[in-house]
Amino acid sequence: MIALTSYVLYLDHVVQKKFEGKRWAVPSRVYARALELYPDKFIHADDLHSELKLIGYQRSSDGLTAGSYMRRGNQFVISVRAFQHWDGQEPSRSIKLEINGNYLSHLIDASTGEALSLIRLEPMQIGTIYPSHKEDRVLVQLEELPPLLLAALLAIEDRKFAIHHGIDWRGIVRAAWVNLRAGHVVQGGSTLTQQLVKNFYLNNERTLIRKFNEAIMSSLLELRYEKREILEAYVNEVYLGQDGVRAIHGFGLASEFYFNKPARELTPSEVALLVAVLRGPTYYDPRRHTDRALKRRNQILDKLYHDNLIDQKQALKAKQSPLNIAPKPNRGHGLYPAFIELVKRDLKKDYREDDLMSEGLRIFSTLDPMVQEVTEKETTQWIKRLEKSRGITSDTLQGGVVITRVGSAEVVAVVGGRNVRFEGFNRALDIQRPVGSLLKPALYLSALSKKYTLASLVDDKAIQITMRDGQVWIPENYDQTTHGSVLLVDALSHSYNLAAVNLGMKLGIDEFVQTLHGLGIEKKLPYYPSLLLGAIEMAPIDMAQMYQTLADGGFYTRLRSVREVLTQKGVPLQRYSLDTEQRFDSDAVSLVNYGLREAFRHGTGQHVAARVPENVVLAGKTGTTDELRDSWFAGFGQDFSGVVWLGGDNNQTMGLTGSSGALQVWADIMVKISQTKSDASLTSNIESILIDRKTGLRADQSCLDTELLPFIIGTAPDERAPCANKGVKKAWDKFRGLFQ
Amino acid sequence: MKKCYSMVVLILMLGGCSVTGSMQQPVDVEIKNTGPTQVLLAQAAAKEKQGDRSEAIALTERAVRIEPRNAYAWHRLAKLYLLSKNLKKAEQFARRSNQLARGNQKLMRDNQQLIEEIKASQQVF
Repeated sequence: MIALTSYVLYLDHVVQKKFEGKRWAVPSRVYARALELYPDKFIHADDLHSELKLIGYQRSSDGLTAGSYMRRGNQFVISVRAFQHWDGQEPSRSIKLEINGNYLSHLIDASTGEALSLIRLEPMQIGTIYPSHKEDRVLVQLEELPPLLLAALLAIEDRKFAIHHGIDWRGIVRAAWVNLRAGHVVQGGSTLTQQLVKNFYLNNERTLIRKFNEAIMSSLLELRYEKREILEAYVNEVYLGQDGVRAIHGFGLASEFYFNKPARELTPSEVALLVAVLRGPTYYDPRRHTDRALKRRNQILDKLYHDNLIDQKQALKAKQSPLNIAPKPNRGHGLYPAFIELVKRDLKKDYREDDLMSEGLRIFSTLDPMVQEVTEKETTQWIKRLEKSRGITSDTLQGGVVITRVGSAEVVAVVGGRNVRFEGFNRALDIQRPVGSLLKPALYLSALSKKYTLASLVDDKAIQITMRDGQVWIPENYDQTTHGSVLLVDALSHSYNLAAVNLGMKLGIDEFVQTLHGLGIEKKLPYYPSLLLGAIEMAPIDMAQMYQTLADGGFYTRLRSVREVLTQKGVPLQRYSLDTEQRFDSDAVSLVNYGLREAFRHGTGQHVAARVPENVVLAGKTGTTDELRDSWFAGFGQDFSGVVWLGGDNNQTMGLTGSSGALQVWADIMVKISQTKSDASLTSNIESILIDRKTGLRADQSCLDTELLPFIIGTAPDERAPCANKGVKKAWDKFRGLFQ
Repeated sequence: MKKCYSMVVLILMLGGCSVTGSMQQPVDVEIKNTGPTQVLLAQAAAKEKQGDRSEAIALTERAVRIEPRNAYAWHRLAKLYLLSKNLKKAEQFARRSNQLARGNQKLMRDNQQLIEEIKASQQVF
């Protein structure tokens, strides 16, 4: 007797400890950025349509039900769901909008006709960070469930729930009798409390001791807690489906998993289907066994009608409706695994991995699904195209891409490899490859921050450097020729190696290294001359940071993938606020950026620039490494900055230069995502002066080979080129002639 | 007459020896009264008035995200950080605003004043 009492006391302790502690490890959910809509916003109607599909909105005839939309040409009616953002709740409402010439022209409240200045769509859920047991759930309170769901649950699973004390003895006897007569199990005798105890505390073993524990613990649970608390635990615990390795628990998540909507919006037929599935999530899986699930759903609807929980009209309508199962949302594994990996790494600085997997945090990331989709599509298509056209062995060419937003330094897209859904080696973050000429802008920034101008002459001549260990380094140009004295702008735009090495040796390697660190390269850099030509291994994300600082005019902002973190209940927890630091003179950076625009238009990028519309202003630099093993391109437009790397995982020769490979991918991405047209982004302290290309001195119309170049005011050469002086001489002769 | 004409040509030619032009015309940036940025800045101002500065900053950052080249939004951010006594951030945002002001003299003066204010208060401490 003492032993039994002690055992019951022990079980009581177990029951209380788990029920009162943190009941479930709830995975964190990662969201994309919320799409902001406002008059004059640049947006393609098809992109808006894609976004609506990605966030799981259903197309309907009028778009007036929450979470639905109607599209007629460029006109949309969208019923936005209420959503808790960091800075407040976006209310639920129906909006009407029209897009003209890729700009949002009208935005009004569909019910009041009131003009709206700014609204946000709910963000797309892009991933879940879940614990190793892979149980996933969205916790709900009873008030968040339709009353019919709770009523149906009790009617089907436990009619005596309100009055029993954990065990329904009569129910057990009745079920045993029915099962005995049928010869197999057709009816369960377990109450909801027993089912909860079995799933929450015990396991599926069919042993007497387990049954004994279940009975005692159910009674204890009923003794200790209110019916309401038990029911709420049940609706969150119950197993309702499987998505690969991810187990779907609770009605909150099941509602999203099967119907792509919050539980409160479930219709009677959907309620009945969820209750049907509960009996056997595999057997009645509505995606695999439609007929079976439909039959069971209709039986449940009959029962609900029989119990007066729905009227005849509702029952008929519900029975006639199809299952309406939404396409499987790819939320568990993550549609964008490469980006989710970056989010995890960024959050690890502030959160323990355990908390990320169990606290149900709501993580608002910076991913832009529209940009991500374009980036994925262009990368994968180009990889296949290049393999075919360049005779590269099939399935060997790989890629890594990072796209960021100019201004806020938010990472908006990441592609980690040719198989974009594969959660494996992330080439955007982890591949370490020589970066080649991608570092050269830092060299020219060092120069332009000092006494140099874009018109300074730089020696593109052979050079030999004896290293400390006695080895001799003899760099070469890609075309294996020398170009003599060239303008600094040409050395940059044509990526002349010898000019870079000669200039770098004059400026000093330490100067170059300091600039690289200033631009955001954190890696420890070796002070050897070949660094000038990018003989250092880095990842695309490192290059993205460097080019971000250039795109932002010399302001360093650390790349970010997370904006805010809210608790499970939507309470603001942490915001990653914007921070920036001016590290370089904006005028000097704007000159480097001019050089990079020239590189794209007239230098190493020129053959691709021909297919880029004139009003899309792009700037960037190619990078090619020895024996054509790596193909890089890094650069920016007015709205986005991006880096593309292409190569092989085994470091094999791919036969691609930066220009014939990565640039192709980069340009097509940037053309598709660029929004701002024709803005050259030079600072106001810049003037343009006509320069003689041969001497780098001031020119006039009498010079034959000239170029209009930007200079920081007051830095242009005073001296005139001989050809310009000829002009003066001619004028002087003419002037003298007047008096002869 | 011919001599006079030649003189004009000469003057023009001498002037043409250095062809100077502006690649970037200084534009006086008009701050729009409507539009998402203005709506958010107004909301931020209201929050600031209510004493909720962190919310005001969050709203202003949202405006900067929507329109990263809006020099005025960066200036507002600088002011909010100045009020928060986060001088480093305030100065950097004022610099950013200046970078984007592109000839908006008034805004550039305001930013300069803000930077000087920061420097002066740093000297005091």
